[in-house]
Formats: sequence, structure tokens, C-alpha cells
Amino acid sequence: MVNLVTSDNESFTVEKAVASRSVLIKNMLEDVGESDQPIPLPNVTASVLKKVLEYCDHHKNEPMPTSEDLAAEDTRKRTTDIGEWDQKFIQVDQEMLFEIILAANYLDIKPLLDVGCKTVANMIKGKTPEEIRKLFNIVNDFTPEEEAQIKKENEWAEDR
Amino acid sequence: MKRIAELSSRRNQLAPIYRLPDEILSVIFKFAQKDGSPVPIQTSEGLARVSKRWRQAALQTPRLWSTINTLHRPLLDTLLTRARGAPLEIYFYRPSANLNPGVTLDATYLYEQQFQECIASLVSRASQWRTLVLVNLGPTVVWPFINHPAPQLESLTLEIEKDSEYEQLDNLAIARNSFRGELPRLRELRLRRWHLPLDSPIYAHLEILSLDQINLGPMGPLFRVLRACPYLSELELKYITFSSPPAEAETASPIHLPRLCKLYIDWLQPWVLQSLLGSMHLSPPLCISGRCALSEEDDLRSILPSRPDFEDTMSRLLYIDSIYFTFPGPAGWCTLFALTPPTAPTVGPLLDMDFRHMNPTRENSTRLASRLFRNLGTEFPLRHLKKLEIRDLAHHMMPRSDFADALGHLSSLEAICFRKCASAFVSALIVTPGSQICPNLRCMGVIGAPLDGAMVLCLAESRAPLKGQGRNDGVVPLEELSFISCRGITKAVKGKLERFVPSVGRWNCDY
Repeated sequence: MVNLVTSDNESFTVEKAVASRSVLIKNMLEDVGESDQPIPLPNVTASVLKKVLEYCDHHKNEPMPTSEDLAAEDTRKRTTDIGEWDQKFIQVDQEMLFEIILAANYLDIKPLLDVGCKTVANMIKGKTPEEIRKLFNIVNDFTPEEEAQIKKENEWAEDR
Repeated sequence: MKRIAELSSRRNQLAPIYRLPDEILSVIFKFAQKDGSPVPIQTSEGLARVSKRWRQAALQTPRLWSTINTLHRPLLDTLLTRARGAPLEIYFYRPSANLNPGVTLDATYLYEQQFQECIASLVSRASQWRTLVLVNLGPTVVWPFINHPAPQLESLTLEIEKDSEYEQLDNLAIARNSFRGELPRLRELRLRRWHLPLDSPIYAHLEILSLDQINLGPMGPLFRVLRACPYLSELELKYITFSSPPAEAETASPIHLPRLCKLYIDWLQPWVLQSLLGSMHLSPPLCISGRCALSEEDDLRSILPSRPDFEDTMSRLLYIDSIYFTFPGPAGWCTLFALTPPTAPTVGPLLDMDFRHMNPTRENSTRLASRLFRNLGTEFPLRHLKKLEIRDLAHHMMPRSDFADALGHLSSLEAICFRKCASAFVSALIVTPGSQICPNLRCMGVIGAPLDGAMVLCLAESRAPLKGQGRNDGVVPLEELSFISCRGITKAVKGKLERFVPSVGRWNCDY
């Protein structure tokens, strides 16, 4: 078993196979060897780690992506298909969604990072800039001069 | 105004999505591109107009700008600049005045002229090409493209559509050493009307090969191409003509294509099909589909390999357990659709073939369909066939005795369905002391046919268990009979049938 301690000082004891879905933790375990020492995760809160561990537990028996898989993925066309279980898992509010993405990035859990990024990508697809701003609570921060400049640079795109 | 923009930028810092670093935004942008097709520039530019931070992230994502399908020079230059060193996906479809009445000839010439002006910029990035699709573009503009090494090119499509302005050209030839023979990563090659000699090194290591409307000369070199592509997963050959069959030495050893899952064969000469199917060792899951024209004397023997070869090379097709056979309809086509059950450990194979007579009169097509049907179970051995559905078999199409002979070869059959067939063929299933036809038949359905109630009763009785005992002739008793839209199956007939068969259904038979 592995003991993980979150930024808000909560402890999680999980199977090694679950914790090792994170390449960061897997490498730490390999570097440290057998030890009872807790592993601090200063960038992850308890509520987020709980979700991340739920994902890792569900996928614990799947093969880890190899470096060849990752290299091949970059040369292939990307697809935004998400598995059924993953879709349900990632149905969370925006704040939690982005926290999961950040945690997956920090813990180096590539499949979870992809699920999060694909979810955001699917939210963006087919939307205008104004719709995207509204969706993510962003405001237009271009000055009128910058807007005019962009428009000029992109005259080709205006009516195409 | 500048102050307002600054305040807006600061407010944006509070938005949860702003917590994501630029590199993650880049990943999201890449996923946001439409899957598998050219990305409209508006999509990428739209992302870059959300906010300053998003613009910065979008401009730092070269892949967002790497789809090139414009001949507008300022836009092309902008895209190439923003794409930096990213692999380029190049798609150009020249509109055809012949194919599209809304397109004028002037517009097509203008397109080619504009294309000429862009060639230098695109060719200077040949080392970055990953996808190159050129449709309806003539030799003068295509040749400059294919004279450069393209070390990253994975997918190449060169097509001239039927009825386009270039249809009549017979000089759409690509030199065997095009791209200076340097396409080490090419995995997908699609050629329509463009002729690339089969001895070209470009064919090596493909995963997807599609050749369409090409005269390829002798067939032997195709065998060498297929042997050089052990990773082939899709093979499409449409309207391909060959001048001569392969030499015996070329077919002596089998072609192993263990990953082939889709074989599409359309309008090939029958002997071409026979040579191919007789030489390829294929594994499931596999879908074979296509259309084939046959002559007066042809049948399945003309396109399938000889039986020993068949069992060697296409043994997986023997696991087919369902066949739908349609006799020729008004268009003169007959169809054979065969598949294994989805619950099989390895899904597939699936066989979906349309056959047409070369001289398609109704009478000829009927004779062809009859011969093809009689091939089932003989030239096309089907040891595992459990379900057969026959459609549109009229009484003049085949003697009842021939039909019974054909069924005699399908002894594993457990279910049969006649859809719009003459009742004489249903009566072929009556068991007599000398004929235990389809001994394992448990279910029978008839749809859309007038039936003689007495004949159906006779059939049910002939296949029923003997009173108080089983049968000693090896015939399994019928368990289920169903009739839909069958005149003659009255309530009274149904009642009598229930004395012999446990489950009898009738729907819409009272019209």
C-alpha cells in the first residue's frame, strides 16, 4: 500500500497498482524503494485527489501507455471520443474539471489528462469566440486598436 | 480603453480556465480541431479571438494552423508562417465544371492558375507534408509536387473524378521514382485514374491502399506489392483492369495479410478476383465487399478459388453462420450477404457481394442467380451455416428439384426464412422417407407469400415427432413456425399446425 498526503494535509492509503497509474508517483516509488514514508502531493487537494484515485482505481488493470504509443499519437489524427465510464466520471463542474486536468498534468497521468482536455475541447467545438467567453466566464480583453489590427491581419478570414 | 482592457485581462485571471497553463490549452486546441477532416480556418482563428491569453496560446500551437486548403496567397502565407515546422495537411479539390453545373469553366481555370502561383510556397515545405490530397488537378500542376522527397508524408491521395475535365487524359502517369522514391513513412495511398507502376518503391509498407479506375498491365506485380505490405489493413480495388494473369511462379506462395480487415473489390474481372482470393491468406475480423459482373457461363466457381485452395486461404469464411440471398429484382442484381454471429470470439468475416450479369436481361440474371444459389454448400462450403434467408425467389426462376438439391448440401441449417418466395420452394422442405432434407431445421418463417394451408400442414406433420416417441430418422422436430402476410394461413390452419409444432405465429394473414 502507498500513503499519499494532499496539500490540505489529508492522507490516502491506496494500492500500489492504483497509485502507480501516476508516472510521477511510480517513479518516486521506484527511486525510494520499499518505504512506509508518506508521499507528499503539495499541488493536489483532497477533493481532487479523491476523484483522481477513483479514475486510477477503475483503470488500474489497463496497460500503461508506452512511449511508442505517445509518439504515435502525435503523428495520428486526434479523436475526441471518450469512453462511456470516463464520460460519466468527468461530468463535474468546470472548477473541478480544470483541477482534475491540472492534477493529471502534475501527477503525469496521460490518459486522464486526455479525457479532461477532450472534454473541454468538446465544449468548445462549433462555438463562436463570444459563446466560448460566455461558457468560461472570460471577457474580451483586446483593446479596440488590437481588435482592428487582428481584423486587418485576418481580412481573408472574414468572409471566407 | 487601454485601462479597461487591462482590467478585463486581470478579471480573466480569476476565470477557472485561466488556471490551465498554455501547453494544456494547446492540447485542448488540438483536440478541438474537427476529427479527421480539414480544419476550417475560422475554427482556429475563432479560438485565437477569445482573449489575449488564448490568442497567445493559439499562435503558439503550430498544429492549429497546419491544415492548408486555401489558394488565397495572404492566407496561405499566414498559415505557413504560423504552422512553423508542424506537419502539414494539404487538401486541394479543384471544382469541376462538368461535375458541378454551378461552376464555370473560367472558375476552374482560375483555380488552376491560382494553384500554379502557390506551388513554390507549398513545395518549399515538402519536408513537412504529412497529408497530400490533390483532386481534379491536371498533370502540369501535380508533377512539380511529386518531384521532391517527402520524408514525413503519411497519406497521399491523387484523384481525377469521372466526368471531370481530365477524364479523357491518358497521360496521368506518375513516374515509379516520384518523390525521388523517398516516402519512408507513407502508410496510405489512394489513386484514382493516376497510374503509378506497380514496381514503384512507393507501394512498400502501406497500411491502406486504394486503386480506382486504372489499367495496371500484367497482374503479377500486384502480388509483389501485396507481399511487400504485410501491415495492410484496407485494400480497395475498383474498376482495375489487368492485361494478363500472374505467372504460376508468382502465385506459388501465399500472400499473408494478417491485419487486413477490409477488402473492397468492385468490378474486377472474375479471373482477377479468383487469383486474388486464391492467393491471399486472410484472418478475421474481415469484411469482404464489392460488386462483380459475371458472364453467361460464370458462377461462384469463376471468382472463388478452387475448393482445396479456398479451404487453405479463406478458411475463415467457412465459419459463416447466416446468409441472406436475394434473387434478382427489377435491376437485375442478385446479392449474397453472409456473416458470422456478433457473439463469435472473433467478429467477422462478413461477405457482401452484388452480382450482375454482363448482359443484364431479366432472364440471364435469373439463370445467374440460380447458379450462384446452387453453389452454396458445394463450391462455397458452409459447414457452420445455421440461418438462411432467401428473398424474391419466383417459381419460374429455378426448378423446385434444383432448390431441394441445393438445400441438401446445407445440412447444418437450423433456421430458414422465405421472403416473397413462391410457395413451391417452401414445400421442398417436406420430409419424406427417402429425403431428410435439412434435418436440423428448428425454425421456419415465411413472409409475404400466398400459401396452401394443406401443404404447410403436411410439412409440419412430416417434421413432427412421432406420437409418444422421438424420431429415428435423424430429423430434429420443428420448434417454431411463423407467418407474416401469408394468405392461406387461417386461424383454423394455425390451430391444426399447433398439434405438430410447439410455437406457431401468424401476423397480418387475414387480408
